[in-house]
Amino acid sequence: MSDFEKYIKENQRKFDLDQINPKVWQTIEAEIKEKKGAILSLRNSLRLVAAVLICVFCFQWFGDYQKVNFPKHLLEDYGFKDSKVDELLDAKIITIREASIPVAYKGDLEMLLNQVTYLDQHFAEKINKLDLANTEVELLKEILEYYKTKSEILDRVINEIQKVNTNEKKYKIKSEKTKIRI
Amino acid sequence: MKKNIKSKVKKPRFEFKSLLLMGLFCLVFLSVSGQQREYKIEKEVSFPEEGSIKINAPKSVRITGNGTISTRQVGDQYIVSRKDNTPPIYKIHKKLVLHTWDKAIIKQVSSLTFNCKTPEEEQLLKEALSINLASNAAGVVEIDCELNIAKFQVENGWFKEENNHIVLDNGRICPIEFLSISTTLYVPVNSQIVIDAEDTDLLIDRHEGELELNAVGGSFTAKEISHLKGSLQFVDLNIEHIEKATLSLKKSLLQAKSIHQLHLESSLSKLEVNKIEKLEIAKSMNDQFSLESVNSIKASNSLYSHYRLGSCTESLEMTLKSGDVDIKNLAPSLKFAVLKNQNAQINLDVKSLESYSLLINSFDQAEYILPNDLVLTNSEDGRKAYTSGSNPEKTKLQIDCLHCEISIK
Repeated sequence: MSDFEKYIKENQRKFDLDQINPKVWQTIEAEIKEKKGAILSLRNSLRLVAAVLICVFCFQWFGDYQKVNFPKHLLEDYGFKDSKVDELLDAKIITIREASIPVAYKGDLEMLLNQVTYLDQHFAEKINKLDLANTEVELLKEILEYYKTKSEILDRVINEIQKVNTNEKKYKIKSEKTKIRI
Repeated sequence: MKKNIKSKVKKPRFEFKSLLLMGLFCLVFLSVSGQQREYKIEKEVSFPEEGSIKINAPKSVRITGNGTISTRQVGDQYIVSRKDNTPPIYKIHKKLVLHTWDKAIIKQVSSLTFNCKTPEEEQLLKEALSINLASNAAGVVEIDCELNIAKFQVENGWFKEENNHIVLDNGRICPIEFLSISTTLYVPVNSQIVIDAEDTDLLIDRHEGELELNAVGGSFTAKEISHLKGSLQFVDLNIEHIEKATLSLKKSLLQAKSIHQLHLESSLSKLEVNKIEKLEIAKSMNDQFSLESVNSIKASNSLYSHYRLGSCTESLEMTLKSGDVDIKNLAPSLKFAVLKNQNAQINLDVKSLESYSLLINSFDQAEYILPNDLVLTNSEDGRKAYTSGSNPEKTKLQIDCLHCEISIK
């Protein structure tokens, strides 16, 4: 037996671990858990960020999915520059909403706008069927015809408003003004 | 290791076998599955004296079921399939041809193309489908272009076999894989007919009786119609000659070579007529009229509608609001033209008139370009009266147009 082995044997007792106070171990364990928690929260954060990004992507993709990409040649046939037809129509509606007109013409112009309501109601069902999966040309043409007619009616209303207001100035008529309900 | 290699080597053979079996199965299945058959059914009945015909034109199919359904219209066919790019299950031909003849007989011919899984199912379908054609107590013969089919059912799913069938009026169920129906009708030329149609293309050659057409979508093409009435929305009408018509049009197009008499209420519509004898417009909103030659036109309650006339030969009486009027030629035979309007452009060509008188109301509330040869005969309270030629009573023109731009040349 070497000196080293002798030394180990003689001092065996000293090498035995004392019973550790459970609190010490708990503290150590808690520290480990905290560290683990730190790692988990980073993971969770990454997961959260990934989930948010996925949601944003899906929303964007779904939003794009909802927009129909009309073929360019069809758009041109119906007098539209691009697929942003809804935005074009909305801009015209805003113009009408913000315009002031003589009270005497309000009823007539609102009757003209009722034709837009009539078209909207007729085509509501067909619009619902319109999605990227449905590229039926006949349906696309029908929808574009509807948009075109709607655009023409709105243009007509805008022109009539301008005409009426111009004539009132021209013939020096001061009548009470109002807004159109649309 | 050897075992692993063996198992790996085994796998492709197993996959190839299963693919081959599946392919063979498909071939067998396809060969066993029914082929398309064509079949015609027809029926005729006598047309009762003073009877009438009511036609239920082919419409969009009544569909129920569980699973995936895609419907679309391609040309004159209404197609139902499982998905857009899969073979159709039902095809309804939405073109309805009405032949007229001198016989007092009504005949319906339905051409069917169908495909069933088994010959027994084919026989069942052939026996089950029938034409209901009979005159009721009131002398009305009802024609249903959908035969005795109550509805179409489509059933499919991920782990479900396709199970498509038709349900007949009597509740009987007939399984099918494919069914297509097209209809041709033969009716007496002087019968009274009522047609209800939706997205249908109607073709009729000549009809001398009274024809009532109530339609949404589709088209109506005819050579000669004696008496037409009805309510039409989103319909294209192309008729060579109409003797008399009373129509309500919404977002429709009426093209005709000649119309003798037309009474009209319309909106968002277009009329393109070569020659019209008498036109009476009871109500018009945002329409476009393009009339080559008009004998007599009367328009009241017209709002935002534009009128382009080639010539007017007898009389003109128009009360409009915000509707432009362009008349290329007021004919020498014209008796009078009374035009009331506002906020519009009016162009009248009077070169053909030999002599006429012109009365303008609200002169200072509009802009005028007038012919040089007019002689002012009276002027008071914003009214001005003119004459031209030696016999100005021959043709009387009266214009009352507030805030308009008027050009008379």
